[in-house]
Amino acid sequence: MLSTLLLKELKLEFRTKETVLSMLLLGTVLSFLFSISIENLKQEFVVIYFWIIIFMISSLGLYRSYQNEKNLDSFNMMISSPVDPSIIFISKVVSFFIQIFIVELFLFPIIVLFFKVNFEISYGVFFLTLATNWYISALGNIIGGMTLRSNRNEMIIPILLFPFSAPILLAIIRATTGVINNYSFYDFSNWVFIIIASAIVIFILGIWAYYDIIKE
Amino acid sequence: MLVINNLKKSFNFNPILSDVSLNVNEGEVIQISGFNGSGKSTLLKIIAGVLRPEGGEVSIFNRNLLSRDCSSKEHIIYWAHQPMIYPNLTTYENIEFFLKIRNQTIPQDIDLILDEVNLLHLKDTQCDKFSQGMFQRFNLLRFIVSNWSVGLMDEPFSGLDIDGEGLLLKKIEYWKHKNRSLIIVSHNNDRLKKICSHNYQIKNKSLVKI
Amino acid sequence: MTSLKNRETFLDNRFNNLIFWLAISFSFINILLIVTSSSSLIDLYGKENYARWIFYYHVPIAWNAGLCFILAGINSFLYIKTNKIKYDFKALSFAELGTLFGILILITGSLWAKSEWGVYWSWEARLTTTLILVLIYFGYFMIQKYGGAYEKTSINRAYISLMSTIMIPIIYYSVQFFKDEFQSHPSNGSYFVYGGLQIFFFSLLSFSLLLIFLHKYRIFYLNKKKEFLK
Repeated sequence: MLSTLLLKELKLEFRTKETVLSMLLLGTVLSFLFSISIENLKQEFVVIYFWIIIFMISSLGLYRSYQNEKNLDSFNMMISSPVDPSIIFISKVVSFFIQIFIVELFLFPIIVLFFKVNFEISYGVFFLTLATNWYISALGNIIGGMTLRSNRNEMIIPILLFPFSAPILLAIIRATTGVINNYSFYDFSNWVFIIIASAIVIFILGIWAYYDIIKE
Repeated sequence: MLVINNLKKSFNFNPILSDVSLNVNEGEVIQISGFNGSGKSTLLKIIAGVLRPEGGEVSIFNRNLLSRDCSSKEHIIYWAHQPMIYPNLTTYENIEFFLKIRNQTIPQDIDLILDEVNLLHLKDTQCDKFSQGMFQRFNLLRFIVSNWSVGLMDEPFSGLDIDGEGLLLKKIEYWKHKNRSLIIVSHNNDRLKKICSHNYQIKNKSLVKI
Repeated sequence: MTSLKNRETFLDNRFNNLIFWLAISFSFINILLIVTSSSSLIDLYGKENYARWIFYYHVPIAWNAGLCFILAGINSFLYIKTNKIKYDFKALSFAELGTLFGILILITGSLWAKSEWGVYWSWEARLTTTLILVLIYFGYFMIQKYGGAYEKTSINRAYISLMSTIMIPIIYYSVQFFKDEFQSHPSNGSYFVYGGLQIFFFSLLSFSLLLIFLHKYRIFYLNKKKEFLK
């Protein structure tokens, strides 16, 4: 069942590529604006800008991905079928996680180009990026599910997404800086703990909450 | 088979349905009519699991339809106002997805069924270009290919041409003969009245038998 | 819960009447005590801190806000489990009062920071956590206003409130360790002299009574609105 739902999500997205392209385009524009306005940035600040851009484009991507469900009420078809809403949630989280990851793959060289930094990706940074993407995807799908029936979801999604993401933004910046500068793991282990704990807590909460929040 | 007890639903504290009860047995076709905004679609949405009621119980074959365990919904199928279809998928992909999430397989004679509902020429066309009538035919296709015990139809005749209406009525009689039940929300369709086992109306926020 | 007649006011109920008069009188006495007291606060560096009045307000408001946020989360959880509207009313009331007191903490905290460190805003852990929670609850109110019918938004709001209560330790933990220099909160190491502690506890009591009164009034108003809309 999960594979059916996931394949449907990916098929819907990659047939039109609306969400991924719009996120990538917005990310490019934002990185251009940030880079042109500031010169000679240290590597740590580039990490900050990168993650702020990712959070901002996530709100756009979430709005787009739930618009697909809102058109012609296709979401009600899944709700009125014998599908566990938790499975729907997991499929949406995995699908958005893949979309964000693809956008980051293309956005990362653009940012390296605009900000003129030398960046080596280590396993630690890669793992932390995946954990943060998972958190964004889980939280975003909870908020997207809540605002699906509302007419003003494009307004409410960023207003709810950013405050909840504030601690993770702080954690990922500190943790990435720690990995890049080769600090000992003990120095930034609490940040890694925050990211992993938040991702797990929000994911479990979403699995429990999705049943109630997607109904009209 | 389908038992509804004391269903309550309100919007912004205005009660739309209060104390709605209904028993549906096998092979019964029930028509529900009423004024606009009386809560007919709301009732169907609650049974289908799309809307949360404030109180009451809905059960099918003694299994609670309002619980977190959604497996009891395999007996229910819902025909809504909106098409409930993915516009970027083709007709075949939509019906394949619909059957897969109900743990069913596409029948071998799908082409024949598509021809019967006059959608064969649109089998590999994306559904974003469909008209209202085509969406209704797709809903009918869903009802034909899947296994269900209770069908919920919300204004199935709107947008259908004469051929479509005739086909739908023929199918309703066929399903009644096959001991499947239907709850149809419709506005005084004379041909439907002859097939119906019972007629109800939503009056004063509850179901009244006519 | 008995049904209300349209003409019934908040003060018709004896308990509500008592709470109202207690809250008003205690607050009035509190203001008099603070303004006329000669007590003061000796801080870390051994000097008298003349921003003492804000401390008498700031800490009780912070206590109220923290209590409101946690009770909002608990009532939201009870609403999710039992689906009874009274828990949703309580959660909504606590959310509103928590946001109100949170904004007051930010204002009084800024004034105190100005007198203590010369700047209106510093990334102190508790103030920043309050700011993030207030922003989350702004989203909560947006859902209430723009999310659709009341019955639909109530469950969404319950989950947002529950999520924010669960995230409080994560938010506080992450904000506290973010800044390299740990800004010490003025209360650390300070102590009262000349009877200031008694005034502080009286202030805490009067703000708690004020919270109970505001909460009861809000619940009364919500019930009345529900009856009126019916």
